[in-house]
Amino acid sequence: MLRIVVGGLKKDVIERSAKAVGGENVQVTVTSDFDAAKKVKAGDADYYLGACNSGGGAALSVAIGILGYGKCSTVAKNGKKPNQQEIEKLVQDGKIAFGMAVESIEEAVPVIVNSLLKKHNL
Amino acid sequence: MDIFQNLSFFEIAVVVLLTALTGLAAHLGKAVFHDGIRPILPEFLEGRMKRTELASISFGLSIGFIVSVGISFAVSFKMLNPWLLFLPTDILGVMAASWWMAAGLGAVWGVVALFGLTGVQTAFSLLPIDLLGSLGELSTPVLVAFTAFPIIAILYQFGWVRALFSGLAALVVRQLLPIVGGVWTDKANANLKEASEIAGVTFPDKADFAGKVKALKDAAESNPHVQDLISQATNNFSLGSTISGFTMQIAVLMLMGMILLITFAVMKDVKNKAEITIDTDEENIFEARTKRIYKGLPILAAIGALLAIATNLGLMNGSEVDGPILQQAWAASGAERSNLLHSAAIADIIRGISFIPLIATTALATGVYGVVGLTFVFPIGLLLPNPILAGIVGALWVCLEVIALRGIGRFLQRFPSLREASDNIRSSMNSMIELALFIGGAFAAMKMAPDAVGLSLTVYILLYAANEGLGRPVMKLAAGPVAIILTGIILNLLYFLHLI
Repeated sequence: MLRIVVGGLKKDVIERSAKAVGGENVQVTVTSDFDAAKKVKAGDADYYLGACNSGGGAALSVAIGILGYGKCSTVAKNGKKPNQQEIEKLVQDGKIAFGMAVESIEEAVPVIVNSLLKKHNL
Repeated sequence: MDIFQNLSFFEIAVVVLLTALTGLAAHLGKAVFHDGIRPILPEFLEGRMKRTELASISFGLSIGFIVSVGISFAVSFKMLNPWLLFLPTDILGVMAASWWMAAGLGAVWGVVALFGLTGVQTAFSLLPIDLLGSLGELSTPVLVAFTAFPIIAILYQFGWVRALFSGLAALVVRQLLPIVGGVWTDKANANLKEASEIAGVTFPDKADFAGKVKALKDAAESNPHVQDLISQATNNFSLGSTISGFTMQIAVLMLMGMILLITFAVMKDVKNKAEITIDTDEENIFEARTKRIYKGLPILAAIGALLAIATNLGLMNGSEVDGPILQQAWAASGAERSNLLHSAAIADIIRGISFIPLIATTALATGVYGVVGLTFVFPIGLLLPNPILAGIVGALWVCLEVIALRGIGRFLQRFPSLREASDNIRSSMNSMIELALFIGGAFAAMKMAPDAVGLSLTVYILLYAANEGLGRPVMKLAAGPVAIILTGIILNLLYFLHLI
């Protein structure tokens, strides 16, 4: 089972989208960005999802500070649709924290969660 | 204040100096505006990333904001704003190869933004269908939406039972305010009645308060007792109308919601005290990074001073919540203006509180501060009587903020629910402003073409829907303002083609 933590804005929407796709295979915890990032760092969670207006601001800023820039990536900027191939590649590259614009949550989260499930053969 | 026709040298200097300094601050890695660039700067400062890569990331993160929020808000609210000024100076600052180039490019951007906006304003004001005047309509729904921020945040965090309780409590208070205000108004009328009996004046049937005061003043100029009663009556009357006034209702409701939200959060954390752990590794990282921020204090304080001055002069607004109110405030005068300025300041203070955890935590974790700090320099600019005082207090305030950062960090570790509450306020603020600007745009469309309401509304709604259908190339926050500006342009085109 994947343990996903959610921080940033519109957490309820991320939670719903992630649960809708992942079902039994994901455990979604909604918390603050700071707590969420600390959980991932401590190994109490596997992946971080967060949203903000631009997709790279409040969504990831705390996660980058705690987990390091190399582990984080913006998958959907505002004004651009999320791209499935790009997201799959980022997942395969070992990114563990994903940021997105609030507008694209409903499109981006299913792609991210599906790619993660695929990576872990779930 | 219509800044765009009569810019003084002082005003131009404030803006240019401000953008030069923010460009420089970004170049030196002391402070940036975009919350997303702050955590990446250490990657560059510590040599893990190239300047060109950093510049292209900053550009990618910011361009959508500059184009959609920065420009449309500036045109709608007739003022410069942080997105328009400081997102570009972030990019220019990190792009520039040397410090003087960063400051120079920043200054140039200040000039471009100021005069670009002046040009757009002038061009729009020449159009036959009044676009700019109608944009004032954007503000009414925004003012009402404020009252809902904290309640929606309570709903997100603590469920519907507490949200319903808070909503009802807020409604009761709202209904009580006019009654409390009425007590003072009654007192004022009693004062006047007593005075009229002493002076032997009878009022005409339909005389309003000001009319009665004038009649009494004329009749009993030399009677100190009557004059005394008149001044008491005037004080009571203005107190009464302030308490029952619209802006007061909004301010009280907002504060009440915030107090409830904070109470719920603190209660939860006090109950779970045993489970909250304080991380010592984190403490050490924070310690080292804070020292970096201290070194940037002179430039940060100078930027703080200029921000407070620019806000005080009505040259710029500070956030998405104060813009619509400030637009009305600067168009009004006297007591109405100061009431609106106070509302805008309260809205900004609450927005500021909700951003403290994010800005403080990223600053402590990265050693890079925000160019607008914790954003309280904006209400300082709005509340103080003149630019000089605003500048001095603004600079001192930024120093205080920086000194308080460590304390804020420790405090937030003890109360994690407050950190979560701040995320929820930001979420609900975002949703409510999006909604309010969408509705406000519809009001503006109706005002723009009173003889062709159906047409203007249809154009507006089609444009808004097109953005949704195209996967939101314009951010939702800016979709309302952008759609209404385009509607105005389209209506003017149709007018020139003699189609309306």
